[in-house]
Amino acid sequence: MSQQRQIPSPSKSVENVAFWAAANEGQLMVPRCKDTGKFFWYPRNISPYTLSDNVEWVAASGKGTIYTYLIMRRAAPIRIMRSPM
Amino acid sequence: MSIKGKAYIAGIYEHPTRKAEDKSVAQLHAEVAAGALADAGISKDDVDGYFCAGDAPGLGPLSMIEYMGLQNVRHMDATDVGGSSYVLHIGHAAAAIAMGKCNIALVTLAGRPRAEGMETGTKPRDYGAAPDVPFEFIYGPTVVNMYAMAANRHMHEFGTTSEQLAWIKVAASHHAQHNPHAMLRDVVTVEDVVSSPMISDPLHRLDCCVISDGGGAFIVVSPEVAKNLNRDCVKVIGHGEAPKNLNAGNVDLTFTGARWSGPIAFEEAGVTPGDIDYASIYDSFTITVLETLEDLGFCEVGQGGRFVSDGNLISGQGKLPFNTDGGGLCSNHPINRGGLTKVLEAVRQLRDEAHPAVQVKDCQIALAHGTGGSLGTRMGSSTVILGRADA
Repeated sequence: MSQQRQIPSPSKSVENVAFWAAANEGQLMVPRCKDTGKFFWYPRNISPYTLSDNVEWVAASGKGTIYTYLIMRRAAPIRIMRSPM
Repeated sequence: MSIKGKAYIAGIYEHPTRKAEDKSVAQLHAEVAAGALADAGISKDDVDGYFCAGDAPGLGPLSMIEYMGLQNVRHMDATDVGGSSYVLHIGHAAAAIAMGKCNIALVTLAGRPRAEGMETGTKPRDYGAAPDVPFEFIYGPTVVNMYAMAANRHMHEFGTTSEQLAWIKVAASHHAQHNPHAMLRDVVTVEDVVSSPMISDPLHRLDCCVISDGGGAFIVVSPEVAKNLNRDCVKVIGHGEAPKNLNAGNVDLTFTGARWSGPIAFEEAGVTPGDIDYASIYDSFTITVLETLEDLGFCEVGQGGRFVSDGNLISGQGKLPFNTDGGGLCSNHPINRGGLTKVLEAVRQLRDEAHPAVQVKDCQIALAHGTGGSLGTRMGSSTVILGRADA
């Protein structure tokens, strides 16, 4: 029997609840600094460009470019031999 | 103001254990402290500065100073920037000594991830309430995955190959064969590395460091203390530290914080990469070494693969002897924090106390570099340049 990977629910906080609410509706939101007009990641309520809270959510287009990737391998499942009952 | 020549490393100790089933973390810290004090010829009650990081139990200095019975500490620093902490501690200790805050600073590292069955490589680290966690942890950021992303991007931009990365492990294994405490003492070939099982593409098992228990310690002292000790002391001549991160999402995984910590250290020391006789380079993975060598200026950016090839890092053969104890790739990586042991081998080289088979002849100036956190996300980088007492 293969062991299925357990994927935890994302931890929610007052700072990212809007992001996950939109995600639940199928919409990826990206935060933008309103002072500079620049996007940033990961989502937070403070702009890393200006340290102000003048930020807004923008719906992502859904298009992107892969920057890098990896392929994680898993070991062959270990067969556990049980002694007869 | 500078720390150049304001502090010396007077004593070092590396715990010989690689699996500490019958010792607590606090006990390991105390054992490495005792070892370094004995090496320096200093009594514990002379220690007036204590430095540790997140591997120390409880409230770090408060817990360990009590456990060890240090009676006269008047300066404490528990800066935790992962595996780079202990290289950073040298700079902080030297600055404190230069300002008269302390004269004899003890730095310790210890832990037992093997004995405790920690899933070091295969389970993502949960940093709890850290603000990045909700957006990264769910995707399974194991340590090796983070470094694999950096390696893949470096390969994409510069044509770096698995065979070139493998040379880093090959060099480490050539050195580790002479270290009786090393976990992996067999000399390996490029073919051995690239045919070892793939863990996280493009990193193979032999691109990864070992997981070990143990620890180490060193003592940083003022010039006056160093002068009165009956021990060969090593001069601190330059230090730099820098954070590096995902920069608001403007990601570049092809370089490390060494790009910033290195020049600060070189400038303070008044030397260049060409002056370095020996280098201890943090080696959690082969890619960690390759990017760091580029960032420190030992070769051009993107040329790290060519630089490490054909035994260029092997003592006695190549231009830049590195990690002559076998490093994290072969000897040990106590509690997954390899910065402290990088300092120890640099001190051994400057004292002519490395194994004769790997000792660099007339080693005058050495560099030690620590990396903490992850190449794939956020990291601490710290560089120290050390010289012989008469340098």
